[in-house]
Amino acid sequence: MNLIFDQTYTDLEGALPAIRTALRAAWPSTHSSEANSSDAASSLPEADASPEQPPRRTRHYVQLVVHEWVANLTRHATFADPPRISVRVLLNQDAAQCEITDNSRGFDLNSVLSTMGAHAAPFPESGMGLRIIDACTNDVSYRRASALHHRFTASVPYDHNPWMNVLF
Amino acid sequence: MLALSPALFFPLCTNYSRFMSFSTQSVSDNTLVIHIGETLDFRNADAFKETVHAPVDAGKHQFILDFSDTDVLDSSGLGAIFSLYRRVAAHDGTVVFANTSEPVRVVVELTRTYKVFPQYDSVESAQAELT
Repeated sequence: MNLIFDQTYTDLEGALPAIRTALRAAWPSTHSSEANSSDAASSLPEADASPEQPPRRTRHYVQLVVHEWVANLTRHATFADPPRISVRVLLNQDAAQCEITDNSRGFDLNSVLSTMGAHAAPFPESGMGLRIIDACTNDVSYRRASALHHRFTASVPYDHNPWMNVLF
Repeated sequence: MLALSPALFFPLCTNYSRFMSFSTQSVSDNTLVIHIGETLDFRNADAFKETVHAPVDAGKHQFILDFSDTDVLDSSGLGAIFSLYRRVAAHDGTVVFANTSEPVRVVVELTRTYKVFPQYDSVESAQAELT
């Protein structure tokens, strides 16, 4: 596994733009077949993807998942003082791994995920963030990591082509 | 195991005023171009809705959203666009996207919203199609 990103933030308002810029800079160089493509979802052949050359679209999914999770924490979590979020991104042979550790009180992600479908409505104005995370990732979890911390983990496979139904 | 006093916890209060404004351009009696800027997300989704409400009430029912400078579109931003769509759809109106950047296209393709929001390469081509 290649650890490409490992940053801690206490200024949560500034965290999202800082993460976005730093993660873009940290992402390995784009595969030549994608570099000239204007199609964001163009698929790099799975056999060509690697920790050294992960698909560019995987970077976008990772950016989106990290954004949605940090936004979710910023809006809804109750943090210790000072608030702290640590973001790590690792690349393995077939997926990008995201880890976001925070010092909030946490919540039961599984119970929220299990009830999302029951409240789904067409063209929703809210409630799509966790659904986006769920669609973009495999093995998503949010658990207590220590007495003072909770940790979100999820993987974004290089060959993932996610979609979610918001139109009905 | 350590127990944290509730007094040590606090909800975050943040100032998103620097994300609040959107520039708009009226290009016909019923068509408005909105230049989204760098970000449309949870920090300025309410400001977006406030920006479009008055024009919709005044009779603008065709909206061209210009994403040429947009680096972030998240679920809250998309929800704000859905809010606009529901308002104009009641008047047989339209919302179209122009100049979608790569991060925006990822969200559009993920949610298949290109089925509802036609995509154009430029504001001019969207405008030509709507008139």
